[in-house]
Amino acid sequence: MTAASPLRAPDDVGGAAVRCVNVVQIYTTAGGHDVVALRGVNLDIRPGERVALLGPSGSGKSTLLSLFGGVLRPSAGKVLLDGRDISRLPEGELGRLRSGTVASLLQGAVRNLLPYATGEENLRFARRAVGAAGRRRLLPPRELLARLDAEDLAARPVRSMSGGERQRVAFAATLASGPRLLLADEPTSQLGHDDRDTMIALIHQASEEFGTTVVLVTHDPEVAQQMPRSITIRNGRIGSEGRHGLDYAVVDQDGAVHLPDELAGDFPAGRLVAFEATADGLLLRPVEERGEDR
Amino acid sequence: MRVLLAGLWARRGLNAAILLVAVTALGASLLGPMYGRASAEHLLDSRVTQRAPYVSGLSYAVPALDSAELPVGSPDRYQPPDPRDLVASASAPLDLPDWSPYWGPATPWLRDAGGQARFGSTTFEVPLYWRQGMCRLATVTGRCPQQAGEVLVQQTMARTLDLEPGDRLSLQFTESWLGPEGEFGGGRPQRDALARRDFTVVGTYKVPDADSPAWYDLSRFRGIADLVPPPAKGAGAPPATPALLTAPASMTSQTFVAGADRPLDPGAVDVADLDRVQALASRFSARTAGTSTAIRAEDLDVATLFDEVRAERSLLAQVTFAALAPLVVLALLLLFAMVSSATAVRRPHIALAKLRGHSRRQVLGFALGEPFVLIVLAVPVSLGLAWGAAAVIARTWLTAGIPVRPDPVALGSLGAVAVAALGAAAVAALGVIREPLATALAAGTRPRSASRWGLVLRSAVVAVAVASVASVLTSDREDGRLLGLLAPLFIALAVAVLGVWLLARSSTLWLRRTAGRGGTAAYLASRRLARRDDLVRLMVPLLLAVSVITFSASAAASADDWRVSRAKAQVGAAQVFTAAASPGRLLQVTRQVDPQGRYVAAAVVGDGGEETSRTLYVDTRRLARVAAWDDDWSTVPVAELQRRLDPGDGEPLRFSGRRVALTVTDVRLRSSAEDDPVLWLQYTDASGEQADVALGAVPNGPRVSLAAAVPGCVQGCTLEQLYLAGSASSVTDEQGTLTLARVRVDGAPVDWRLGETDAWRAARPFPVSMMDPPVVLEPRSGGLRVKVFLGHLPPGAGPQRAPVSGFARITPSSTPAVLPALIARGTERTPAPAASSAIGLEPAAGTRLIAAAGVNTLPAPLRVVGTVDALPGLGAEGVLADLGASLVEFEPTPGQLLSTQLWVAPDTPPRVLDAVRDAGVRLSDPQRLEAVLAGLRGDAFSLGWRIFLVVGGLTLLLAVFGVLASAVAQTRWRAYEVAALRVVGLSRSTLVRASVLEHGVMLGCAVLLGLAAAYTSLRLVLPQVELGGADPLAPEPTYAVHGWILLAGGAGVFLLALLIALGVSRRVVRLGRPSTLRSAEQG
Repeated sequence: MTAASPLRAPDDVGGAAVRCVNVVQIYTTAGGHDVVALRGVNLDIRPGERVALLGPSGSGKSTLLSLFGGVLRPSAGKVLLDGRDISRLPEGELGRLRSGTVASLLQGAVRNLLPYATGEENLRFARRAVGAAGRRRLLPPRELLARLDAEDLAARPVRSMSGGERQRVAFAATLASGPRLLLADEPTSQLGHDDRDTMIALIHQASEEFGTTVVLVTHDPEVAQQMPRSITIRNGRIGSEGRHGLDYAVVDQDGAVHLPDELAGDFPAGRLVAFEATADGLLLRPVEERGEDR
Repeated sequence: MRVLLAGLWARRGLNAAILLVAVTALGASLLGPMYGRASAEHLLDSRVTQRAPYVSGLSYAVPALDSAELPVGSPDRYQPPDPRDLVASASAPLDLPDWSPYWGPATPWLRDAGGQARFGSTTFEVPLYWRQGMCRLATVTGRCPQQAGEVLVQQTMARTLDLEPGDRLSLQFTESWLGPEGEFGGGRPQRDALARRDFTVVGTYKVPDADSPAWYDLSRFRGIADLVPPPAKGAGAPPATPALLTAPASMTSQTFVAGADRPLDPGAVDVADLDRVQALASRFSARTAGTSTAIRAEDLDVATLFDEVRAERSLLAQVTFAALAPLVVLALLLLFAMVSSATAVRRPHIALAKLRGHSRRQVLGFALGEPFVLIVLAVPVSLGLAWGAAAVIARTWLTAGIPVRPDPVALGSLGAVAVAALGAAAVAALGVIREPLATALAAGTRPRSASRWGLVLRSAVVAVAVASVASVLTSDREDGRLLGLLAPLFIALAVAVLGVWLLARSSTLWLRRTAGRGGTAAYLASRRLARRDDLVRLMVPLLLAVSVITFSASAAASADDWRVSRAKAQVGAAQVFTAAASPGRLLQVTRQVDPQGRYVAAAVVGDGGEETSRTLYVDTRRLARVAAWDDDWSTVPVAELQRRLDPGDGEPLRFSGRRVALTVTDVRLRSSAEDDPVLWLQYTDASGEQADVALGAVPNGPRVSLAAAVPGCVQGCTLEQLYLAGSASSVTDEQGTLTLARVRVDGAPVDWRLGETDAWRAARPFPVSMMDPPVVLEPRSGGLRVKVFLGHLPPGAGPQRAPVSGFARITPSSTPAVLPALIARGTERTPAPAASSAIGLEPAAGTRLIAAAGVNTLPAPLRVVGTVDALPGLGAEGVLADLGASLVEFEPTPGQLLSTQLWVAPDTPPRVLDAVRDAGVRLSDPQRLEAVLAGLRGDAFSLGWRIFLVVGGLTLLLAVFGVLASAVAQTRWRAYEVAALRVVGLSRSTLVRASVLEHGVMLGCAVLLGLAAAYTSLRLVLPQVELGGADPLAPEPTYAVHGWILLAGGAGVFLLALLIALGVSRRVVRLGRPSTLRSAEQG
């Protein structure tokens, strides 16, 4: 981003706050089996915050992203956007939400674009749902592309672009409607190092400049480390959080705490532990089962 | 808009297919009504042209002298009006602007039917006629009459009467006047007198085209060809000569009439004008009924003519609708499939629109924009193409110059199908539009399970098919015509629904089998068919098309077979001439000019009555070669029927000389008549003509010598009969015996086998019944003793006690006693009566005789040797027997209503016909089988079935295209699958085999089930469907399945489908490289 002009009108600058209250998500497989994707997630994301969601495949991070974007509805619990519960909003309201407040960048650049259209046409397509008045308050497509150093892609069909160029246009298309919450699913997964770094920089710049809240899903620890806050999802729960390079365990609603990965091997399931309060905090001590029993 | 256009271009192949299918559906919807309209115009023109012009034209005539205005006192006081003034009076009622657009300009004419002349012993009416432009219409030798008293004489009449230019011809005209009043106490009496007028012949004329409408009413000419009057429209017309063409100035008698004609102009009348033209014609009839003379009010019958056109139009509309319905349905199905494919390709983009928060309206617009634009684009394209196609078809099949344009019905039909196409496209896209966003964003697609609506729809299709077949089977043909024509489509759709279900289930079973054992290719093919309903549904268009094309081809073949059969039954041979010769003479001539019997045959046809009075007597030894026989009429080959009809080879008695003398002995006859009976000799002379000569009176006595000249027997004659009659060949009631002792010809004894047993028999017709002869023959050494029972028959069971009279006839036994005959199946047989006298003839055991009309219309016994569906020249009712054998006993009498015809085989050299003419047999213009067939092929049914066939072909092409396009549309995911399978080590050949097997099974099932649907329709529905309009005596149609059409059609389509499968499979496998997987992953 090379210029300082805002993505939206000055009075509209700012990110959205996201809050999850005990969110449970259950889906049914093609074989008819129920799978619990999220098991009571509680989470607060402040406006303008940049958060990376980490976790192994199937841990529920993409599901959580879909819930934030109004693509899925939680089986239980609430998802609040700026204090407004979007869990039970009708489809039309969700559509309006996706047309301006929330924007999703799907995994795979082409899935975010009309491959036969040009870069500019894709941006126009992405903001079509925004009313005329709203569109006047947004950056024109070419200017937005210029901000993202992608002006030369405005007139080129997506088919003719490289992977990095496509991703840049896809990102521009995601920003085209001036969202307050940007949800990005693996935005760097199919990119080389340079393109990956560029993409991360663009995300940071967009967030810094417009105050946009950013939640991205990644498998890449390097990408996660570049986010001020990272949340690791394990087995449908928030396992830990990283802030400014430090990892923390998170106490959930039931008081449960996930052990860090490096300690998990020392505490197999069923192992008894004892907590001891010390001056510095809390000491977790494994208990020798027989001796202690006596 | 730019995104829309870019999207259309990006999927140009698929979109072109959608456009083509939409154009086909819309084009068919336009073509049907446009073709129907053009055909209706063609039928209108044809029917108007086929009828005499006076049926639809306006004619008005006024007499020179009204019967109420006869001159008083003297005929000289009659002042004839100026013919031109009278013509102007006759033209005035026709000169109304309302009628100008529909009826052509008025042609004035003058006619005087009052002239008479005596030729030979007969007084003929000799009409005078003038018509504007007549010398241009006729072929004139000499010059056109210009002055009063000048006439042109018809060419044959001039030759017959030996008239040449410059000769004078006298006619007599009746002149009437009113006598003095009060002569007999009443009013003025009418007096008549004949006045002679002379005419000068200035040339001859011939009417080159008797059917030309320019003559308007040919009956004004009366005898066209000869001095023999043609069939008159009214009964009781006096014999008349052909008219003398003359100048208007010749019309001076009291009896001439002036008139004017305005023939209907077929080119000016559209189908839409029928009601108006009919109303105008009715108004004209009503207005002129009381004032016009010399026209027949019944002639102008526009209502009947137009009703026929309306009926044919309605029929054609139904047939055309039924013909085009499958094409439209198939096109809509394909459109649905194509739009579904296109929407599936666009599924991620539609999901993206939802993800970007597009409103429902925007998503709908985005999803439906492309197909709707294509359909809208297809409207003008289809309009142009349908217009062009209709013009080409009209030019090829219909009358030249028929206007072809889309009328409101066509545009309405276009609108309806366009709406249906938009609906089909919307329904096809709706599944993706209504898909939840999360599902739509998922990477893979999960085949959707059958919806409730789909199940209901499929059940409804089957139910409609069953109901339509049941209705067709139970309803009246005409009432259920449209349903009957649509039933094959319903059946095909129902079979398609069942076929899809059956193939899916069979594939599941096949999969279980191949999963356990069997090759990889079979496993992959069965797995795909078992799991992908969308693949199995590909069979529907092909099945539908195979069913439609084979049904329509077979039905069209059946209909044409029937038309051929009807034409043969109507005409009898490739060419049929009415011969102005006796049957015996014609028989002789045909045998002379064509001794091998390859080209011509003599026939006598009596087709005016009912049942067994409809008779065809033909030279049966030439039946197979010459007659137009249809093999569908009998399972027995015609050659075998001909053999059965052969009356036998009995050697006739022949003699040569100038004079025959017969000695009769022991004559003991008694009669109520005073005169002695006369013995007659009947023979056929060398020219084939029958002759009867009286040998002389036979008084009672021991010995009588009789003799008579036998003209025409120097070259040899054939003896047919000897018969005893009253004097002057009247009937007699003689009773008694006489013996025919000896015969001499020119003084030399000849052996007429008078003493031989069974050499002679009684000859028919018998005076009482067919079975009770009035004669008993007893051969003796002294000659043939003849017992005559013309007073009363010997006692028996029947009416022989009643007085009888007639002729006592005998004939050589070489004349077959009972003729073998073929009988048409529709003929009710009249059994020959049993013998009722003591000398009655009983047929041999097991022989069934029927009574039919002989060549002289008297009852003749016939032995049935075969029953056939129809007979040439007669149709579904009547009897056929040998002509030659019939003539011996049933010689035709003058003036009877039988037609003596010359039947001519196809490809007969002209020299044969020339030889017939050279032999003095005058032949009429021929009735040609091809012309009759062409007429039948031009009726509404024929036009309808033709479009059925064309549409069937188009349906097949469209289906093949649809299969190809669908297969191509599947290339992307199939290539992905193939790539995945290749990664795990399957060879390319295995994958090609699997794909070909899969397509082969699916398309093979489509072809087989399509044939099954067509067969079902041909068996169940076709016999209930009208194949054409025919008179009641036409042979019944044969609803053959035409297995070769089914087999050839099915095999051809299957081979084509296999070629497509092979091509597509190879392409898919070629594209299915491991890199395909990576590309797919990258989107």
